[in-house]
Amino acid sequence: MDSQLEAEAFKRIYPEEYFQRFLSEGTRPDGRPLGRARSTTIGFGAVSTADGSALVKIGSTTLLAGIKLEVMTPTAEAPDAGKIAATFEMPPLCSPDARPERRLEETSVVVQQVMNAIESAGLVNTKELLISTGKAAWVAYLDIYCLDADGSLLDAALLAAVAAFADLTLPPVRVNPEGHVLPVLSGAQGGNLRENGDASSEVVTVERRKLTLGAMPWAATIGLYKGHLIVDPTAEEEALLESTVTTILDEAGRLISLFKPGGITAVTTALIQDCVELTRHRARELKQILEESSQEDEDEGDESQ
Amino acid sequence: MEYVSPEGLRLDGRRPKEVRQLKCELAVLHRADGSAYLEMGNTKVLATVYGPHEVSQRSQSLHDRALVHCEYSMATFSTGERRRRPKGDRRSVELSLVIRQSMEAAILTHLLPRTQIDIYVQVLQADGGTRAACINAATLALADAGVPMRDLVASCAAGYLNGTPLLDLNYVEDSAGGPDLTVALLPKAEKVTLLQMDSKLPLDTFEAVLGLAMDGCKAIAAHMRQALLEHTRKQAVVRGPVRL
Amino acid sequence: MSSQGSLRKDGRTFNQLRGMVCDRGLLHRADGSAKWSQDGTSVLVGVYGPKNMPPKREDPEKAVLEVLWKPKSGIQGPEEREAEIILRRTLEAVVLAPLFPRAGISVVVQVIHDDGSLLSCAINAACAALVDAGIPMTGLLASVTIALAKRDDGAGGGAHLQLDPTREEQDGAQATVCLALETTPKAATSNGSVEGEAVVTSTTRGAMAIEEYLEALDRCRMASRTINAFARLSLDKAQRRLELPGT
Repeated sequence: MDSQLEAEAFKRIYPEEYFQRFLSEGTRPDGRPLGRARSTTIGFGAVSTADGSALVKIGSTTLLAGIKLEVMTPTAEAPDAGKIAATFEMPPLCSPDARPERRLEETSVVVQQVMNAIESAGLVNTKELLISTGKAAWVAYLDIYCLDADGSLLDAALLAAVAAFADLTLPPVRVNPEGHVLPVLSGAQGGNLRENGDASSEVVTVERRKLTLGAMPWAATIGLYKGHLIVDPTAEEEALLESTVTTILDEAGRLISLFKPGGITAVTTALIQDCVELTRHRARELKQILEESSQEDEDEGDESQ
Repeated sequence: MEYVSPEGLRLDGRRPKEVRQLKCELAVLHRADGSAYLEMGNTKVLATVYGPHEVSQRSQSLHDRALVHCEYSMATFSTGERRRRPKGDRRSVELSLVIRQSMEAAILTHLLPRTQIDIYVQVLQADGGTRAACINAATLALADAGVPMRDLVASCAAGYLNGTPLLDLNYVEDSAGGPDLTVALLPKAEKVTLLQMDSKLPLDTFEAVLGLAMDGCKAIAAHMRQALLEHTRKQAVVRGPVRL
Repeated sequence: MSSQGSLRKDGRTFNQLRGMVCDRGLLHRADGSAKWSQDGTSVLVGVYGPKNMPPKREDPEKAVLEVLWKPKSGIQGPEEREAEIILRRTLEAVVLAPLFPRAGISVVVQVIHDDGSLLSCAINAACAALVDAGIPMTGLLASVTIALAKRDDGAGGGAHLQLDPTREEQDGAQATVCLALETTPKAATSNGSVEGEAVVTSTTRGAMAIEEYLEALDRCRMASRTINAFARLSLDKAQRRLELPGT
């Protein structure tokens, strides 16, 4: 009991020395080797009121992404496409540093980077969000909530967004020639369109469907500390790091983003290449996790039917 | 519309005096001092407690007791229609106040003068009874944080449709336009800390519905107590026997 | 847009930067200021500090940097907020903040005109303004943006990497990379430090092959030497203007 108290005290008073003691052994305070990310899980359809949702946990970092669809009129420049609008919230419950009065930096950076990654990778083809050319299209409001902020928020946010889009199902709708979108009623009330007062027989039904997703982006945040590369840092580690690099790759190995927002350490080409290698490895891991979780989700769906 | 079938079954197959399936999990967020996740049927709520800690605004510090601060927020995707203002709108402000007052009655604030206890409740999915679910989740989170309380606060809602008092309404039953009574109870002392009702009820029916709601609260309190005991038992095993 | 060997729309080659102009000391009430223009893109930066900070926000060990980014018109949006954060962290890499504990340094960025490579221009301007304010730094920052033009004829080699793109080139590109390099012997590698330019900040848009990114990094290195040389020249001129006797 005493020695545990001493270790806690040392950690509080000399956080850098505490951290360095672990690094010199090639490990970290939570026991991981420097190159290993924390255990990651994805839960699809966590929120049934959302049209698509996913709960992602990377270690203790917990993020929930929900997509709600609303109908909009397509713009004149893009009459055959819908739109994606993303927000990222860090409610006060996620971390003792998140106060309601002061917006944390991460909120601005994460949402921009997630949207950038989705657009650059071409994950979603906005043309698939179309309902009726020039008259109606879906706007997908992607809202990501951080429930527990324990480092590497961008990684988890991007993963949650990708999983939420994978979970998204566009509901079936009917469109009349004026562009009014009506929900398709299920059961006995659906089916006989002509009897429902829509005098015109031009009402088009758009079936329930899932999006065909393009290339999926996978992110790995790597911290730099005195020459060590630390993959997937926790919040405690992030406070001590000199700088972080978030590399985003897609499954084909294309670089979607290499984001290093300043920081005390500057890096050389060799270091960048190391980061890319580590990210490649992590991308493979994440892809596998997504596929396995998706398979489990499908199996559960089949069972319940 | 028929909310209770002639056989006595409601829309989701429950009996009139049945509470929805309750699921609770403690210490779900490790950065918070206390946290709890609660599901009442399809209503999913997450509560976190930070504190007791120093008061953030010196001017508001109370010399003889703790300051309780509560914030209620709904995720934009938690309801059928996307909510554009997750907090700051009138309903959220009212609910924050309501939850704070219910919890303040139970917390032994005089033991923690000049401190502040923050309770944050986030609704992830709403299917009726969010008020009650939030209070229940807040109770569990406070217990997880080790804040001293005189009793658990258990809350439940009840209504009256098709001539039958119904316990724990879901969203569809709630929007039927009938009365909706929410009660928060300190079960051991049988003291009510919150009583709110929408719409109107004749007085004798009111007594019946209130009685039903209080029974519901007691059932929920028993379930929460069980969950807390389980959690504490697990903690004791993990940390090893206590040495004096 | 252009095929191998030919020039870009404004007559430049692929590796050519636009003409740079740097005016220092424009704002009399600021401790330092600089207006950096890369042809059509122009940014004015004012630096105030080291100065007093309200006790709530001060840091007992070093100076606190804050950046305010004002767009050309309208109010701040999410892009401006992100740019503030990136710029602040970039400057924190070079400013010797521990020399001024409990102080604050405010950097105000005013976008005058955006014709592509805006963030790079702002970083260059901010660095020049900090120098003008006499804030000690570990090295000079040089920032360059590179656009990868869409491959139309499958032309190989580096023909499609365009340095310092205009707005038109930037919008039409398949991808863009914005890099800020620091020139000091402080770069980090896995086996010790190395002399030369090291990457302080990197932000990209669009997808590209990793080799293309590394190639862009090399081009940026070469370009940063040109930018640094220009910056020193401009500083020299400004100094000489100050030192000229009154007669």
